[in-house]
Amino acid sequence: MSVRRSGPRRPNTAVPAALLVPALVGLAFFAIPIVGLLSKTPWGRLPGLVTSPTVVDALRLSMISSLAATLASVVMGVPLAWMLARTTFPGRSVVRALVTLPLVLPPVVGGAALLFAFGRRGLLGGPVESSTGFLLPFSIWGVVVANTFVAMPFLVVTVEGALTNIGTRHEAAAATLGATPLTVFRRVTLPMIAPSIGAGLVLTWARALGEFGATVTFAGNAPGTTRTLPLAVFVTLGQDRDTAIAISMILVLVSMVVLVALRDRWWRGR
Amino acid sequence: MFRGGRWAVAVLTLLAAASACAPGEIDDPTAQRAQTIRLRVLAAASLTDAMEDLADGFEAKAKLAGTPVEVELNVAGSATLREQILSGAPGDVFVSANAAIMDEVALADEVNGEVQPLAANSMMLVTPADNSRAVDGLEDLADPDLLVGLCTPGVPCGDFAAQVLEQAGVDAEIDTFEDDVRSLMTRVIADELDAAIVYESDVAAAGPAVAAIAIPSELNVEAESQIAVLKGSENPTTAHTFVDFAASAEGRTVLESHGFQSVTP
Repeated sequence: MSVRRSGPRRPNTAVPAALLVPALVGLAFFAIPIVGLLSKTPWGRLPGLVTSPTVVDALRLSMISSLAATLASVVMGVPLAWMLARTTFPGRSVVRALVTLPLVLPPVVGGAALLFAFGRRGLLGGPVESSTGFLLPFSIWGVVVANTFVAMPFLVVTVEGALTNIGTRHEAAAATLGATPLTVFRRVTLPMIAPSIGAGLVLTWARALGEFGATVTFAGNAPGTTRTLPLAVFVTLGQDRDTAIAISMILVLVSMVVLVALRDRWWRGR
Repeated sequence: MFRGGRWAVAVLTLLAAASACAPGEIDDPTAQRAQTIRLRVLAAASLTDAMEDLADGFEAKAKLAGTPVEVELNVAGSATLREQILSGAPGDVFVSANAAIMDEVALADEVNGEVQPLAANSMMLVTPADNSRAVDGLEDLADPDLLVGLCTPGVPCGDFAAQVLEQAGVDAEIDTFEDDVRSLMTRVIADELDAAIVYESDVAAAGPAVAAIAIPSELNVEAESQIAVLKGSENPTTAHTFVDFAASAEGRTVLESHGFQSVTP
């Protein structure tokens, strides 16, 4: 009775300091390293550095291998995601864990595992090499395999999430109207999840472009064959900082473009 | 968020929980340990085994003298260590695999006292134990079908290998550049590479796991590893004692047992 109610109370929209301060510290934590990189960037020499043979070679390799890995990821990853979202089979959760494992596994462990499987003395690599002479490590194919291993889970996770979100209502309707499962997949499911596939593709590509640990462990590190942009940063950091910074700038720029392009798809839900 | 995301979060949480329960926090059980001086030695990868032995010998001596020391070895390519030192990484003693890298560290005013020569080394050609590709000389490294590895240029073993190849006039087809000599050696031992150029001391360390082919002395190089106390050392006295021990006759014997040649300071 002592509380006076005088109409609806205006919501208090002020950000509490207890949230604002740690949030700003967190923001600074991400911003300062980028500012550090920018402050060391030799802007005047940048055009020359970015077009130097070291960088051009690495850029070409990175583009080819990351795009090939993205293609391999979509060819295998979309069906995998579909299987995980639409079918039930014993051990499905184990399969899902296996497919998403590279998301949390240190890439260098992935590279070592690839080596033990596809290396010259590996489980499959040995027999393949002795019968055909074909060897994945120390070739661009090795880079593509390493990139795919590390990046494909991003596509699977994104597409599986989308499949779960759209539910099975439309697919069931199409099936009742007589469409075969493959037709349903092509004409109903795919168009509905196309935006998510797009988002997954970009993420997968960005991850493949940045891949370092698995590549250097499995595919080796030679200019022109396996030395992609991240490997080139690692090598030049010890010898020629300006080139390392120039390559880092390329990678930061590409990543920013990807994130800005994806902000609606990825961060705000479907 | 989507289901896959929740799944990933679950996995992450699990892993974080697992690592939190992992053992590893069991050291320093007694206060007696508190008296122990910790000596951080940053050493070139090529000296890994020799430095481990030297560290053991030094620890034993220090314990007898009643001033226990625990040597903490940080082993990597000399160039990586130089970068760490120049960017302020803590360390008491630095051992480089060549004079050039030590010069750079000394030039940056990171050395306390004198730089001392530690040991000499030269290069060798190695293949997996069975040498199934019948490599018998440097000129074989020009064969594009052969899987050949070197250390990265800028790392001493990489620069020395490049120098050897240049002196031999061989335009080698290199399939991979490794960041330090130990990872290169591991690839040869695992039969992932057909040939590599490494230090003689690495061959001694690997024993029968590899086959070695000598490089003619007129094409070879003399790699001098050097040792110095770092300016940032928290225990410069102990660090100097360690350096003197490494350069002593006793230290030299240890280095020789690992395939290094001794140098006269």
